[in-house]
Amino acid sequence: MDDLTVRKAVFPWWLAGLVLGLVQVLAVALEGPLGVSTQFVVVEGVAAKQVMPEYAESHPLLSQEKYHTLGYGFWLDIGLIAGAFVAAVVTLRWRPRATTVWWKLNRGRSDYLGRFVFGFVGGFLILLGARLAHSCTSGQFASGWALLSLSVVPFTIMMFLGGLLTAWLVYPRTPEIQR
Amino acid sequence: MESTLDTWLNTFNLTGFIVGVLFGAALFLGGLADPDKIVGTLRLKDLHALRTIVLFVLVGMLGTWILQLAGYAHGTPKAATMVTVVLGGGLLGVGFGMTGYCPGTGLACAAAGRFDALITVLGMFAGAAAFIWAYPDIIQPLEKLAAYDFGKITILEYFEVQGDNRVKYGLVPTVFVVGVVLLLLTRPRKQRPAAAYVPAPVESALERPAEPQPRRVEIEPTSVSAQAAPETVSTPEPAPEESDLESSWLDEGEPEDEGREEEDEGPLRLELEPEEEEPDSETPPDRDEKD
Repeated sequence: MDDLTVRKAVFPWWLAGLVLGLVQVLAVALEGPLGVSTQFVVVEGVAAKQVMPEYAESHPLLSQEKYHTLGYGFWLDIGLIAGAFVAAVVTLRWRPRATTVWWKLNRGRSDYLGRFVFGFVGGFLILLGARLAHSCTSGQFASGWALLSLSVVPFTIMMFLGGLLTAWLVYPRTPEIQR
Repeated sequence: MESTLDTWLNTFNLTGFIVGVLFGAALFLGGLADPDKIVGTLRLKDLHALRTIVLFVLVGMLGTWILQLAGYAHGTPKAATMVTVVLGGGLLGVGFGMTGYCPGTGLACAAAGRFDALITVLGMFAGAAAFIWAYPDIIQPLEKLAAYDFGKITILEYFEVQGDNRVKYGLVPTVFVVGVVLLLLTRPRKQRPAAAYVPAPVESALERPAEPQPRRVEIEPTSVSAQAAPETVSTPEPAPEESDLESSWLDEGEPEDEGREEEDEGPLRLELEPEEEEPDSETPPDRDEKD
């Protein structure tokens, strides 16, 4: 297997989906549905409260208790990082790398700068979009369908439209995929 | 600084941490925390992630529904402020397609050693800052556009308000059926390494009426005399390249449907292993073989 082959996931799809679904159920049973992106704002809200308290006080968002208190959601994110790290190490898949197979095939094997620029801009759009839509793929899409919120319908359509179009533009060529 | 760290640690929430550990591990092991899998799904070439997500949603929905019936569910739906949801969904989709990350998997991938994911997480912090900055003047007014703000309601409640109870009772089964159909449509098929032994494109064996196999005439060098004549016409021993239909399906199993993985048409392929003597264009190919 060369470095232009997409590697198989550890779990087959049905096990992966089942476990993720059960984690979602557990989260709903214990405290609240899964969600990640709010905490990016919360962390900055906490920082803003320290650094520029008067701005944070007057801000319609940061002044809300939810946005300057660390709690369930924040520690869920910390746990997420820890869990992914442990899983990667245990399965011997922890490997420092800076690009992806699809990127190497479509944008050049050594185009790291491009990957980083795209990564940064993409990350910016992801979180701005996620906050505009009140949450991200976990909080809005997965949890939204779990609770059947009304907002999940337009969100799903727009997210997949945007994703399909962009991926089609950025990654026209398909690498070998291990199945 | 010490006191900051203390207050930080004092917020520790064990429930959140445990759920997070499970979620992060499942994202990684399930292949969602792999930008190649995500991009593969968005390009409709590698549907592992799509199937995982669909099952994730279905199991989560079913479990939440049971919890709600039992009265143990927590959580309220997100506010359905349609303008920002549509705008935000689109922006998130674009970033999703560019990078193959989303907030959760970006963090998980950074933890798994992906430096580009770390850059993306930095981009996310920048995006969060931009959101905070733009919130009072731009985003909040958008959210408040009353005509498009349905409040924190579920799809069920929405249709209840509309007085349409058919939807209310039909929705969950419908979503379930749609999910199951999606799973069936995208079911994985065994695929062999393609490029190695695919010859020149062969017409799809499924659509083509069996073509007459050209009779191969072998003229032996010694067959000058008449007695050699009957042996010159041999039954069509298909040429290896032609008969190797088991590789042809790779190329054209189906009309270019990007949504499918290439199919393994196992049984049909076997039936077509051409042994036929006089292929008749009117007889379906699968009958010939049995003669």
